[in-house]
Amino acid sequence: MLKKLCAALLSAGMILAIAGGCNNSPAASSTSPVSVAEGEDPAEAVIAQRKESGQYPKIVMSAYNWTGSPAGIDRINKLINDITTEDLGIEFELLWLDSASYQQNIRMMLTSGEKLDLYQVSPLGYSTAVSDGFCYDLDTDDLIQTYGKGVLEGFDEHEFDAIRIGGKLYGLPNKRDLAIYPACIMIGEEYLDGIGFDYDSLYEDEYKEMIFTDLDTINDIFAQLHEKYPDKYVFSTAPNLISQGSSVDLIGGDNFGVLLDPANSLKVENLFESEIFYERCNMVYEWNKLGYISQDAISDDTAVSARVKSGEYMSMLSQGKPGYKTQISGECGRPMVVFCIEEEAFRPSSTTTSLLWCINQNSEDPVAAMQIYNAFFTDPELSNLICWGEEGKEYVKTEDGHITFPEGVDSQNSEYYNIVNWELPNQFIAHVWEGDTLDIWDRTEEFNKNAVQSKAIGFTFDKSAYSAQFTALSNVYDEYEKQLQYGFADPATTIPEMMERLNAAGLQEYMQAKQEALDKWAKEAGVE
Amino acid sequence: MRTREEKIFQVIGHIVMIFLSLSAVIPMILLFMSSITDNDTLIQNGYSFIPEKFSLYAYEYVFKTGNSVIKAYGVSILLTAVGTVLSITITTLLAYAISKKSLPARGVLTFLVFFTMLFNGGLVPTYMNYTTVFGIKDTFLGILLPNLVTSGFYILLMKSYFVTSIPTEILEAAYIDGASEFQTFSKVAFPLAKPIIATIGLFAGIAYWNDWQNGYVYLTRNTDLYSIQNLLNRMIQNIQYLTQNSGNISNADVGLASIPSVSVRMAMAVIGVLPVLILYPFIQGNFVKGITLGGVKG
Amino acid sequence: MARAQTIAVPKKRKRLLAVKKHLPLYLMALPGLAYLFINNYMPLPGLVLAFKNFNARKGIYGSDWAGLENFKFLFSTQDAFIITRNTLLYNLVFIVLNAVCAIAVAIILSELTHKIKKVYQSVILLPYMISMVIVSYLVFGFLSPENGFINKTILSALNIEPISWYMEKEYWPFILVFVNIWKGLGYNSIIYLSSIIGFDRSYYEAALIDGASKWKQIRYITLPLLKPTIIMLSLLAIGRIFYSDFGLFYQVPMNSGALYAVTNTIDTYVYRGLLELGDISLSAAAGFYQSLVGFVLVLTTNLIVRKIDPESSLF
Repeated sequence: MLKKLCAALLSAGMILAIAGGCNNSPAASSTSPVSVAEGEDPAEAVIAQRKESGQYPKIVMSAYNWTGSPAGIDRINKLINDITTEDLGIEFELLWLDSASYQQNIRMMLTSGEKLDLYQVSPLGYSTAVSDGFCYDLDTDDLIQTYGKGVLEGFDEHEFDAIRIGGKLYGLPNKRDLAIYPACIMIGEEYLDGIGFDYDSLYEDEYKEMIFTDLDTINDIFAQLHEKYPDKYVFSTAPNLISQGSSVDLIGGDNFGVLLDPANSLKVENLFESEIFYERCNMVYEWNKLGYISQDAISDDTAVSARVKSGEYMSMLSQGKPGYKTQISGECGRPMVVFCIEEEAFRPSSTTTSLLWCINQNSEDPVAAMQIYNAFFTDPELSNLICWGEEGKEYVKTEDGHITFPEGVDSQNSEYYNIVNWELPNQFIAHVWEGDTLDIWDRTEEFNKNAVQSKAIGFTFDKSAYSAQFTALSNVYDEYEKQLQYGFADPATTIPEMMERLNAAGLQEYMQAKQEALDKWAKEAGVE
Repeated sequence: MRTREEKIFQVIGHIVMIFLSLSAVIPMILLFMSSITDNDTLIQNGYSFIPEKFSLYAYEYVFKTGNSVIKAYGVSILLTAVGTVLSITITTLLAYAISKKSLPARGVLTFLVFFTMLFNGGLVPTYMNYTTVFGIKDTFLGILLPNLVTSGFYILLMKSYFVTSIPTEILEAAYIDGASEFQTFSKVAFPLAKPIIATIGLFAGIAYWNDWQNGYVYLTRNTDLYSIQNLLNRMIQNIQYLTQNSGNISNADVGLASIPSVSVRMAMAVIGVLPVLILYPFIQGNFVKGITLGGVKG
Repeated sequence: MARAQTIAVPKKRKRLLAVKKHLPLYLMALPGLAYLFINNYMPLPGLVLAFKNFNARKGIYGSDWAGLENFKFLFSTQDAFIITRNTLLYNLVFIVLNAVCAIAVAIILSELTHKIKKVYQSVILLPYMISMVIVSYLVFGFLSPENGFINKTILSALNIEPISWYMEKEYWPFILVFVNIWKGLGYNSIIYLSSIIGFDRSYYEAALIDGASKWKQIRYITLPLLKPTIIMLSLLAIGRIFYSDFGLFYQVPMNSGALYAVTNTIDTYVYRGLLELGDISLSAAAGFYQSLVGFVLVLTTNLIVRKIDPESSLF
């Protein structure tokens, strides 16, 4: 019986091996070497050659949105395709997948060798994707230098250095906000009016977006709110007290081993023994004791802003940025006042590599893929198409230069409305939607530049060698996270208890591994 | 004539069943009432049997956003019908064959079926096999094939039914009358196996109706083939992602504020189950005569 | 030697004859077997992923060997004992209670004479139809500390202090067992019911003539006839004893940390790590481990069953 079984299994294995074997051929450029005359731009030469031969390579580009393929995708693809065949001699298909299945779909497409050239890497994790061999080295034959000039010019050189892993560039950056104002507390305007709090005179900026203040003021406001509206909850919780509520740099994307003073020191420290962690946890613990927090918080997975919108909660904590007041007011369904208890904007290490684009290692034509990305990065017409759809159908221009929905179109019946422009190559050259100020992207650019920069910008940590510790640590921290961050556990007693278990789960080893990786990275990157 | 004991048994039986039925129905009523409650009221007051404020907005939202709910129903019905028939056919035939004690290599075949219940190659290799060897991605086969035998369990269940509930003598009698193996199966064994076929058909049908994972994996471009569960599940998960990642969104009118995030989950559950509730009595009444007591007597 | 051969030949021929005689049966089995081959056996070599350090450049089979490295995260942890204990104990309780409840309901349904039993049968299948995520919201509707039906209506009527259900772990073993039985009762009882319906009614008629009571009929006819089904279902459940219903243990307790001691199982533990690691080799390793343990346990149990009662064994 066993013998027969083995035979059956073996034959099955052989079939799969044969069938699957052909997927693993290394990327071969179908563009034969172009003979470039002296002084001629090879990027132009390759386009001319494509047109001459009539052989247009096809590039498939994929990103995620919240709905999957939008109804108007064929129309938009055709419009984009018209431009790319004309300008670049490249046929193009944009493949929208929905966020829910994007990671799985992309991973399987990359593994099985399906046609895919350019993809948004964030749901896979940049360093994971690189270590799994999914990303093409963009320095190969000067690919980015030759065919991605627009992208190269769009960023300072050190931005690219920050993306390099082991000296190699695997990802393409895009334009978006990279810094945060940590620890901003949003309170509904109507409630502040209700207790007679004068916020209007406190604005210092011309846009009247943010008020810088301290925790005592917030505590004071909360006490009055609680007294005035006893049947509403004062504060809507989320597990973001550190990630959005402080300027601690969670390097490597986890809480185990962090930079407490990222602007000045590359010392990996224990977050849970830090002052800031205790302070933040104690802050919500006090609030909880005072009755500001719902007893349902731990088991309630409704979005923070949706709770404020319901009218049952009066405030929440998040990160600030230019234009945030308009955004959060929209989400909360009421005008919100943004208070920040930390003065300085901060740029953590993670944002640099969190939304990169990669070229598939198995792409048949990396040159064409690079050119497509470059085109989306530099051509406003293409950027508008991919961001907002077709003018007249999905948007119209207003008199003052914004864009908005045409008559009869709204967010639900629009045939192309993705609201994910932050993951697309360059939203800064596209139109600005009504509600934001026209100079929003200039302000964002300034904001990114002026923020306090973490020294570890560009550091990524490959956890795969520490999967055992990481899984154990995650399980321990998950157990305490919400209790601490929602104020249900006394930090004075709970943190030491958690620390003991984290240490037993290998926290020190993990932190040490991170420190070593960081030191090695710093040495290579020349950071001191 | 009924004995006293029989009467007591009947009474107790009804009491137990009424209690169990209520415990199944009451949460369903709560589910339905939540789906027609105003979203903000739900967040404020929690779920309630008598909503303070009614709203059909969740349904409106689902039908408006998932512009193809009706089409998805169509796909689901077709998929369930085709899938169930195919599934029953191959399950019954295989189960019948390995139920024959005289069949050489019966043990090996049974083991081969059983083995599939415990070990599988994993999602990625299965996907590679189906897409690169059989090319079923973005086709109807993509949602049909991977679920055809939901589990080897059903084959073994049916096999054991053939062994225990169909007397060998009846089959022997058919052979003696000169019936071929196929005739014996279709004229004798198949009718006798109706209760188990109906049961497994029901489970296969439910599995097809409720399946959304295969759509996730095998449909990326061809979204016209989304089944209703596929459509609903994607919508739920996307809303979840959207509301949790809203910090990334920068333009003002995002339509976020209008998503009824809590009631919509309930509405989707109702939309997914409702057709089954409506159709189930008919299926039970007509197709599945065998499963109810007195339909078939051995 | 020569003697042995002369015996072997007719034996072989006899066997060939038997195969030929059964050819129609093999033909009937063919579609099913072909399907299992395509669906289950062809991807099976993918199990090597559990022992590989996957890299897309090298492909699944070309990736470097990792030995048992991928299994380390399942064992080298302080939680290994807790998650294994939880998974095993819950499954044992589920196997026993699900069988007892489902058999009881199946027997009641089979004995009831009024037509309304059709309604019962459909209605108790309802919970099986909805997903665990929705179940978790329904449970929350009852247990929510602020607005839940139990705290708000029942406990306050009885003047009992409200309970923070999602913080107190001692209630959860009962809640989870209850939810599991509630959800699966319809499904499980229908399996047993379809078995009972197939029983030869003449046994019962004979018993009735002998004046055997209902209880005696159940005790001496129904249950013994059900034995093979019970054994088979239990064996199959044992095969999956290292698996747990992810939705039941993750979503129903709303992933509340305070409850981990009684809700963390192998599946939820692995999930919490892999959510971020996203490593297909590690998930393959976890699946392989679960399958292997189940496989060994089923083979052992089946062996024991075959010793005691060969008729009931699975193969």
